[in-house]
Amino acid sequence: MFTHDYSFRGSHAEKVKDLVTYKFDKEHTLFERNMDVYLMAPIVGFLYNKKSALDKTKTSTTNILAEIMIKYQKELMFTYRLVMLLDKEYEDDVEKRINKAFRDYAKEDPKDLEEYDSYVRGGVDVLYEKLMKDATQADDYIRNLYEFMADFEDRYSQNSDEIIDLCKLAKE
Amino acid sequence: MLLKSIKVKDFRQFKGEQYVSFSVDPERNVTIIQGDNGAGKTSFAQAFRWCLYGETDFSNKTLLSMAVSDKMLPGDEKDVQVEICLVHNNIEYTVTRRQKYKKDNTNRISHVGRPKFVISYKTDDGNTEYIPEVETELKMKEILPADLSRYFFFDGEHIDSMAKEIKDGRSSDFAKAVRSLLGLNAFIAALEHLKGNGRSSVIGRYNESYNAGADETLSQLIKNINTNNDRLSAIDKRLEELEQQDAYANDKCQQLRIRIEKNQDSKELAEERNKIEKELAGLEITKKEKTGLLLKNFNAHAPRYFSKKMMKDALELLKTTEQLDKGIPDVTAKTIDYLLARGYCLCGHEIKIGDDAYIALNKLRDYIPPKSIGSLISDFSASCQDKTISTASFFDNFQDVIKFIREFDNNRNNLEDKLKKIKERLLGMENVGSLQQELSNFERDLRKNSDERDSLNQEKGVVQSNIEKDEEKRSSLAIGDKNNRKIETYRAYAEYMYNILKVQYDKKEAETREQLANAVNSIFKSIYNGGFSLSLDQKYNIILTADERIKANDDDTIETSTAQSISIIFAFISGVIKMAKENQGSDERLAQTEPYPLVMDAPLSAFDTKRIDTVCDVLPKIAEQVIIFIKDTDGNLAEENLGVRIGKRYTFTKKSGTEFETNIMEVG
Amino acid sequence: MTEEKVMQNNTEIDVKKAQKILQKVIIKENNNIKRKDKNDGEMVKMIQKLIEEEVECY
Repeated sequence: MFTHDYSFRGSHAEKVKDLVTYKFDKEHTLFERNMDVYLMAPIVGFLYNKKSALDKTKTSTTNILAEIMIKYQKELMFTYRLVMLLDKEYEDDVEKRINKAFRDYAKEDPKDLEEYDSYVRGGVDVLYEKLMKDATQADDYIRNLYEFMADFEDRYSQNSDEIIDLCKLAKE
Repeated sequence: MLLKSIKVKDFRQFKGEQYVSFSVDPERNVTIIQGDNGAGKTSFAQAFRWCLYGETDFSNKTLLSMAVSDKMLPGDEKDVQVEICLVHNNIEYTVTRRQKYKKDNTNRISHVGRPKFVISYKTDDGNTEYIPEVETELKMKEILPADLSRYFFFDGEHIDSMAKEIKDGRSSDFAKAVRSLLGLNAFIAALEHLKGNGRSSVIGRYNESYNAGADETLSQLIKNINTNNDRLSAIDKRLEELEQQDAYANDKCQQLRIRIEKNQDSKELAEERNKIEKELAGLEITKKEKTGLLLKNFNAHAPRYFSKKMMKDALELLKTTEQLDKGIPDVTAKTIDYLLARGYCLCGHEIKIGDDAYIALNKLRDYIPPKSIGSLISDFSASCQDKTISTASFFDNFQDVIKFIREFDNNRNNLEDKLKKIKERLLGMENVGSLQQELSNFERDLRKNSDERDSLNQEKGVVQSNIEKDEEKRSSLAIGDKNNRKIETYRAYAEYMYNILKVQYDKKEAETREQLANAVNSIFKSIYNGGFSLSLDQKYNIILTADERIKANDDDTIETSTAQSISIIFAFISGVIKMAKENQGSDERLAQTEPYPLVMDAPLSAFDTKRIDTVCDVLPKIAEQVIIFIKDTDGNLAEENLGVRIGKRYTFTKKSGTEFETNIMEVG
Repeated sequence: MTEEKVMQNNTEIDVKKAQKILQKVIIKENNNIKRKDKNDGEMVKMIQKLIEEEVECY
């Protein structure tokens, strides 16, 4: 898994291109690379419960090379597991979800991957809307970014200690 | 000099031959020329200057009437001509200047050759004689020198600069011209001829006439005296130059000091501007750095931070399904196989194939290696812990950076506001640094001149005393030769005459100056009672001083500096003319005088009504002849105030339908 | 200037004569200013002649 080239397609490709090319100033872009979008998008898509279908109305594509995918495989795997574990709409049975996360991934079930990808695309849509909307200059983008982050913090903020306590259970 | 008439031909707006005759009636000595703005009054005034001196102020130097040149065919030639009849020294002169123009094949008008300048006069027996061409300029200078003419022919536009020139820094030429106007010419000429111009004066020539013969000592003495005399006149010339330079530099210094004073603030403002601009540039860089940091953190850590909620939920899920703690440390599938094979459990309980214990142990295989997912889960859980720890302060950091950026924005806005205000204030201010530089250059020049003057004066003293000593020796040596004795005597007479004439001249000059100063001042006071007095210094510069009287009359309105300038000029010119007239009437045999006219743009509207009254009353009494140009709208004012003095009236009217043609008509 | 004789450069000057010359000079200068028929050089020579003639005459 996550060992081949990945392509954003259609409208999503266009949005990703925008997200990595808009320049705050001569040196800085919002996202550095396609990979940075790819790492963030599934999480955002899942949390905003936004799945998007592949867009075939446009022909644009933008790729992530296999070697980059492999470099970030561990990270990607981690996110994949989170999604598989928590996506009740996709699979109601907890045992099965656990299997998808920790056993079946090796089988690379196309249905599971498509589910994951639809969150990636949904995340791209959310990121694009939240960060790029109504922005024309650096200060607008910074404001958007801050609002997005503040909303996120407001809605999903977590006590780090609770998570760490849970993690300790696994080690005993 | 009095003006009898002027005839213009195809000169600017005046197409064809047009003629104005000026009143020379001593009672009705005012000629009024009335016209709208743009009707050609200024052009007409310029016609005087062009005719007499060949100068004009037009930006387009072509004098030929456009109405005429438009109708010319390529190859055609036309003359522009102005002819002025005037009386000077009881001789009637006709001064004519003529310029030929030609239209070329590209329809361009250009002048052909130089203007022709002719002066003729009527002899006592009624014949007309011509002044030789080489002497016309000289003759004109004698009738009225050009530099002085500007005070008799003047237009409103130059009033301020003229007033300034009268007030300060005037050239010694001007003083000379005034002296000559006041009848001191013969004195000046005699002094100059007796002992001036180095070797070409009477004394200079006598100095060269000594005959040394075989006497080497005398020969050497004569040579020394001549060399020293040359040096003396060189020193005097240089001293005069220095004086002029100083006058110029002093004037400049004064102007610069005023400007520096006025713009003093700009230096500090400019410094502040530079400081703020630097600060702003610094802010921009810091903001860029902070933005970069923000985005880098966002890219690197946001996915982890975003996934915290998911991690927690996932971990909870694994906990409730007891996935987190199902594995038994150090128990592997091999352990199960072993237990099943031996038939009893660790606790000693018997195990049979298919019983509960058998099933429970087999199920345990799922949770222990190699089939177990437990290690994956604990890896997963460890990842969760790392990510959580590494992003614990992510949002706080993010917020801090954002706060920084916003503060920068506020600071930047404040600074930009400040900068804008400073720039607005700086606008229209001058760079004090460069003014200061200019000032110190002039001050350095002045110091240098002062040093040079000191050493010149010192040298002058030495040279003079050498000459005296040498002359004394020469006198004693000259006794031996009859011819030299004579020369010695002649020279002594010339020297003596020069000395007594100089004393007389200085006395008379001082008297004249005082008279002039009084005349100028009383006229100035009669037309400008703004609490100021005028006085004259040795070079006829006018000094304006505030009266002791602290407060002016209550009904005094605050007048513009233009009105003050006009008043100064009027007073000065009137004073000169008045003096000239008075001198003519007396039986002073040594003085030679001549009345002069006043030709002017009369900006009556620049004065208040009371002043107009005074000006109109005073001028015709002072000048023998007054020719004034007035606006149509000032017509009634002039008529009211000058009424009985007006001898002739003319109107200038623009020919309807044309922009550039004016007709002159005599009225009444 | 009531004295009849004064000394100038070790030379005795007859004041009356000097005044007479001077008056003539001024008249000539005045006329020349009006007519301009002599240039500076000619005027200088003329003044010299006036001086020499007056001094030589008794």
